[in-house]
Amino acid sequence: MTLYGWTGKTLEADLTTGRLTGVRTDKYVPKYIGGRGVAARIAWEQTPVSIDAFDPGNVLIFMTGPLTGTLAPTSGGRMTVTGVAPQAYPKPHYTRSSIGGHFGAELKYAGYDGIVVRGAAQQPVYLSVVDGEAELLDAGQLWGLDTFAAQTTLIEKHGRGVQVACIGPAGENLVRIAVIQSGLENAAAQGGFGAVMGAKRLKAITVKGTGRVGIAYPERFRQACREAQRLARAAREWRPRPGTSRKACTATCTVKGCGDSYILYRNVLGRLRPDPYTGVVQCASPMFLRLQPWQAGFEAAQLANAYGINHWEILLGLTGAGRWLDQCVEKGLITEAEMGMPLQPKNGEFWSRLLRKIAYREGIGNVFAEGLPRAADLLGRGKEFLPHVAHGFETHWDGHFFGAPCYPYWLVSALEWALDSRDPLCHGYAQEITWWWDRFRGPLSIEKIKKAAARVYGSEASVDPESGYAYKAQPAVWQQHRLVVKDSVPICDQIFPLIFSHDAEDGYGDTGAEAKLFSAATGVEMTEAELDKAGERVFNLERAIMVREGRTRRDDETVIPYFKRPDYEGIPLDEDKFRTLLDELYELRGWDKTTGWPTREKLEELDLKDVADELEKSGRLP
Amino acid sequence: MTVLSTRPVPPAKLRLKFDAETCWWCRCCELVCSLTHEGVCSPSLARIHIDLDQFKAEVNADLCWQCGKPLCLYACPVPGAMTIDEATGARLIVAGKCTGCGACAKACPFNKEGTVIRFNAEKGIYVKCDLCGGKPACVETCPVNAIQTVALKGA
Repeated sequence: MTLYGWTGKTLEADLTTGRLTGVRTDKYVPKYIGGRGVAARIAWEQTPVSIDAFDPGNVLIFMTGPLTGTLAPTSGGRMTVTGVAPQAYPKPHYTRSSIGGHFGAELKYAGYDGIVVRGAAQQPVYLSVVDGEAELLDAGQLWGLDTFAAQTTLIEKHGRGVQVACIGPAGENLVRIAVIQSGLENAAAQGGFGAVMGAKRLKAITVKGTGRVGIAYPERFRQACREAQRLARAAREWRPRPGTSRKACTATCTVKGCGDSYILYRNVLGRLRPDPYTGVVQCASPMFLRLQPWQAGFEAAQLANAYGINHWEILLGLTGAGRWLDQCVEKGLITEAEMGMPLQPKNGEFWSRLLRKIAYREGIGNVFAEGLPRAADLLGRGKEFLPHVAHGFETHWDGHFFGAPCYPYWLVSALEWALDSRDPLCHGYAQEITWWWDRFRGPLSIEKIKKAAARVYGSEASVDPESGYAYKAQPAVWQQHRLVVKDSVPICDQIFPLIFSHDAEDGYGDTGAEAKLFSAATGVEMTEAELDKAGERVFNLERAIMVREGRTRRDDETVIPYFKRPDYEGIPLDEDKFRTLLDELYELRGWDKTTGWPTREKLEELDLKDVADELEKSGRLP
Repeated sequence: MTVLSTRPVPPAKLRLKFDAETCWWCRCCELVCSLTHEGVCSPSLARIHIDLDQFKAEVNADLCWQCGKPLCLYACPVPGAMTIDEATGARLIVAGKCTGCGACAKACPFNKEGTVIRFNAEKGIYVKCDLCGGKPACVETCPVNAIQTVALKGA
């Protein structure tokens, strides 16, 4: 059978033995969709239970989806990276991180849907894949290079058009907030998977290919792309600042002016290095430009990329909206002596120096390199100011550290946070309401938002500002499944699903766009509901991985103390009402509400009988 | 290389124009081109090539200039394998007649990297930009209008 969308092949690399094997992975699709879903199945089958992130046995999975490398708007370069994450807290656990850019597409043109890495090399190596041919090459000369130097060196060696995913000094030094970097500003950042590559002594992966992604119905697919491109618009188009230009953050992105994103600056002179920087700030990293002077802030942003350190953890954790360090400085909990430099958190150069300390684990950097929750444990100070919600991950669209979303919308964020293994991308619900609503300068009235939301979630109460704790579990479930779909087909999690639109009478976009693109590309006809059902299957499989690691309802409830802090308008979580909401969430999911474990009935409904059997064997089936 | 003919041919009525500053690096043009013409998504089969160097923040496009004196067409040794499109004046490779000899690809002065006139290994023929009959898919898809059609003088 001809396979469209997927290549059907995955490369397995065992770094301990040096063995490279191409394996068929078509058996996993369409059941697990691709990307995050296929990765979860591979992890379920291959990752040893409760293994440490830095153990050679940890399985690091890079997985694209059927739309990667196609024209589907925003899908182009996307893929998901999964494994046992060193950033996870209180102990490492399985989670995921997605990355855009161009690497994922090139991997498919080189003939593979994904790469599964296990074992650890004796000496630094990098993995080269050219048109289906893979080899492990010596990375002795690359070890120690920053992510920009490593990439340009490898592009010089392998030729224009090669795409590189690599780590910088932070990953090499097992910094728990180290990223896997590709290009100027794309990273698989959350989870600290850069440090997993470091532990495996895998400096980089290079891919280059002249192949293709087959499309089942080219005409229909083109039309689906055209329609998605027309509808996929930002709520508000942000204008680039003077002297800068805006670029697409990933291949085939057609959405102009989405957030404060992917802004290119040329030749900015910093303070620490003599050569000017050409680089990009996007997503959270424009916050670096608020530091003084902005050029030094820009330098800090670029050094974070170069060292391979997670912007989100730095900006939302250590500084900026997080204000953790600011508050520790104000309260005298951290001294200049232990920082080893003047305490100037508003100063760009201060952050550049601190980033260097973290990347090389020098002085206090050795403590911050553990990630902020572990750092607070080590210091024995500052826990009360931590902007970390749960599971080792810091604030993200929860209404408590950078303003929006307002109450009651962060209740859905809290529910998503409760069940996730990392920060859930609350974009689909909380962010979209905030950005589209005219109360926050968006284009839509609350009446239109209610109408569109009723079509998607089944009730206007899902978004009614007066609805309080009513009807919040339903949108949480819908978004959790759709986020799996987005990470699996894959498609941008900022812009999709297209719940709202500028043009429609009732404000509704087209939440069926993903299914239309998927079906036309792969030839596997799936409705929106069927694709979401596959999303539910993956969500339950990931839950099974967590349950196998020891997760229970008690771990889900670790979000409660954070949300009990007053939000930015002074409203705290009502703990009792939230526990009732959690009950409702487990019931909707068909999970046991005492343990938080999926039931056999639910797992079998999702065609996961073997998963139920294994959980039963280990005594973790309710 | 033997130039078999230099007979005057009608000028193209339009050609593609690329603006590097406006280009926003999404590479949709390559994929819509291969999708439209070959039914697959593959930059290697696209008749336009985006050469992106992120680290220098430089981008260039290799594309057909629809030359007034088309050396590709002059070099083609197979009668009828290269023609002029009546509607647009685009220089065309005729799929049914091309033998895959590669004379056109060698003759094109803009094809040093083999990215303007490409070899489709599966079909054993060369392919090049045909201006999509006057409404190029790349122009339609480019979200920032970095690729446009320009009318050519004398057409």
